[in-house]
Amino acid sequence: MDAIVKRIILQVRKGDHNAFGELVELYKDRVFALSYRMLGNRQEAEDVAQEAFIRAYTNIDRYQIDRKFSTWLYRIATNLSIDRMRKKKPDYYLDAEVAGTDGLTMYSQVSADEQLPEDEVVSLEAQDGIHRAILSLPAKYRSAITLKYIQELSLKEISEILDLPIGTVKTRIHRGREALRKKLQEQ
Amino acid sequence: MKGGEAMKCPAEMIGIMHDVLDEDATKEQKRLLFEHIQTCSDCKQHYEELKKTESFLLSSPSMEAPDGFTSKVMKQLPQEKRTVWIKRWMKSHPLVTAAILFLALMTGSVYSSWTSEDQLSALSGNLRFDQETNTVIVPEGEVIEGDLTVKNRNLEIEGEVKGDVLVINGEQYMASAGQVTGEIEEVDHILDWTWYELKKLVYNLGDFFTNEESK
Repeated sequence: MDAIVKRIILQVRKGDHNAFGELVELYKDRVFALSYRMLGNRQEAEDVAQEAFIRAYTNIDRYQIDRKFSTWLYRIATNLSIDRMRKKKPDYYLDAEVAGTDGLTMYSQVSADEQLPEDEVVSLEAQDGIHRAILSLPAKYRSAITLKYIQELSLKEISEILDLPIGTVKTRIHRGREALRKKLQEQ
Repeated sequence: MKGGEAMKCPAEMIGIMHDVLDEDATKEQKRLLFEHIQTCSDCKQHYEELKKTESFLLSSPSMEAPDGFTSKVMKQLPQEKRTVWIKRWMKSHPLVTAAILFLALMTGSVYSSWTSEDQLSALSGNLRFDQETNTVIVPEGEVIEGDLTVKNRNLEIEGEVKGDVLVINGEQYMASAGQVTGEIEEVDHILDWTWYELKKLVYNLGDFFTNEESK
C-alpha cells in the first residue's frame, strides 16, 4: 500500500493529474468521514474534504516522502475542518432555540441539512445520539476523538496529525470521552 | 470534570479507567482498577458507561464520499503541464500516435519530392527538349527502352516508349504515330501524388517481402 502510494505521489509531483485522481479515490471516504464527523453536515463536509485534496495537490512538494501520506493528508483535513468550525456558530449554541421558529433547536437544523440515501437512515438513527454528542464537543476534543475512533489511528499518529505531544492527545481523548459519556447518559 | 459519583474514590481511579481503555495502563493499575470496581458500584457504573461510549464510537457506520467526489476535485485542480498530458495521451493511444507520426513523415517526404527540381528520367534513348513550350519530346522513330518519367514538364510522344509513362504536373500529348506499350499516367495534384507515392511504397514493400521469401 505504502509503496503504491509513493509511486503515485512521484507521478503527481511530475504534474500528472490522473495519478492524483488515484490518490483521491484511495482516501476520499476516510477524509470525508473525518470532515463529516467534525462538521456534522454533508455539504460542508464535502466542501472541506475537496479543499483538503486540492491543498494536498498544490502543496505536494512539501510532503516528505519518507513519512506516512495519510498522516499528512489527515492533518490538512483536520486543520481545515477546525478552521471551518470556528467560522461557524460555536457548537454550544446547538441547543439554543433558533430565532423565529417554534421550539426548533440547532439540532433539528443539523439533521434537516442532511440528505441521506434511505439505507443510511436506519443506521443513522441508531448512531444519531453519538454523532450529535461528538458534534457538541469543543473542537480540540472533537478532533482527537474523531481521529481515534472514526479513523482508528494510534495515539502516535494522532499526535503527529494534531502536532501535539502524546500526553496532550491522551488528555484530550480522556476528557472528550468523559464528556461523551455524560452526554449519552443525559440523552 | 470527573463525575460527581466518583468523588469519594481515589482521585486517580477515573484516569486509570481511561488508560485501561487506551491500553496504556500498567498491570498494577489494571489490577487496582478491577479490584476497586468489585467493591465500588459508582466506579463500576462509571467504567461500564465509558466502555459503552467507546463501543458506540467504534460502531459508527463507515462513510462513503458523495458521488462524483473525485471528478469534482479533479475539475478544481490547477492546469496540469502540457507535456505530461501529451505524453500520457500518446501512451494511451499508441495506434493513433503511430498513424499521426506516419502521416507527418509521409507528408514531409511527399511534399519535398513534389516541389523538388524538375526531373526527367528514362533508362535509354534520346529525348529532345523544347525550352519554349517546356516540352520533352520523344522524336519520331526513337524507341525508349523502359519506363519514362517527366516531372514539371509536358511530354510529347512521337516515337515509341517500351514501358510505362508517368507525367507529373505536366501534360502529355501523344502524336498519332506515337506508341506506348505500358500504362500512361498523369499526376496533377499533390493528392494524386501522395496516392502515387503510397502505391509505390506498398508495391516496394510487397517486392521486399517477395524478395525475402524467395531467398
